[in-house]
Amino acid sequence: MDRRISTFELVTVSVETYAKIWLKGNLVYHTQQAARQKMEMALAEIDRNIVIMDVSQLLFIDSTGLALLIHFFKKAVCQNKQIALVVSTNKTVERILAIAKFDKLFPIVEREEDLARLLASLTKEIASQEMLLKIWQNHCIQN
Amino acid sequence: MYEITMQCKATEEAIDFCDLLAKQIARFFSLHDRDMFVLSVHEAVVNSIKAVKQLGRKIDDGALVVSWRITEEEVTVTVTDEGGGIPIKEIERLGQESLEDVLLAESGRGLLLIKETMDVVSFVPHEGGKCAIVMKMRRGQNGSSDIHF
Repeated sequence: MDRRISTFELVTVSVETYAKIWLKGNLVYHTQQAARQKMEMALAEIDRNIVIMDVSQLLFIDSTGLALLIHFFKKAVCQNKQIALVVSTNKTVERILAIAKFDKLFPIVEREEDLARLLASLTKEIASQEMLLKIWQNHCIQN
Repeated sequence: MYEITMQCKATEEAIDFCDLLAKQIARFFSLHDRDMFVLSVHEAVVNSIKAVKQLGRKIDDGALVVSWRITEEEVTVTVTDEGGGIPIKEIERLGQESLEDVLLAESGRGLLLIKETMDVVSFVPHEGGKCAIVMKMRRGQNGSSDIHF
């Protein structure tokens, strides 16, 4: 009998300036198939340029999960979308992202409100992932 | 000192079971960096499951062996499998690459995460040019890993 306990869920919400994808459960080797499918479906439905992936409710992420985030990132960037990650108080996921150097690709944000406020205050459109990352890094330096 | 040897089928259920065991051992023996210990054991077990799956034949009952050795100073975990473990080429890559080098890659992070988070990582040669992984984490403290080939 299979007693697998790892599950993965995804919820998408759109607000005025961005779309948000909540990743919940385990983004790991044995949930990768379902996760990949759900993430690709979510990306296809999103009509905003900025996508915030909220990873704060992930119970666990492994190297396969990190690779899936990269896969999603590449697909999104090809569609001229920009991605940020929200970690909230999930220190374990935040640490794994930091060890994997994901802060060199994504703004890694503790509070979604901070990013939302920053996006709302911008006068020009964010044209690329590099631009979003740079704006976020400058914001962090100033605050 | 405690020594536990676990032998089971190399299935996805075994990954969850090893995660659970690693969490409990990390907690019970007060490993300082519990989350990273669990991640490293998980990565080593997943590597083994992949190696066994690559054989492409019926999975034997004892295809995956995970040994835990707990002393006053440290916890040592050894992961071996019927698939023959980690190819030597992969281990050589570890000495040359960092996680930054594979930033945009969609594979190849597992062993690098182990190297980054465990105190000591070593490899025991098996026949056929493959290796078992042995990793250690000190109890009550944490440091960057040393690799011994």
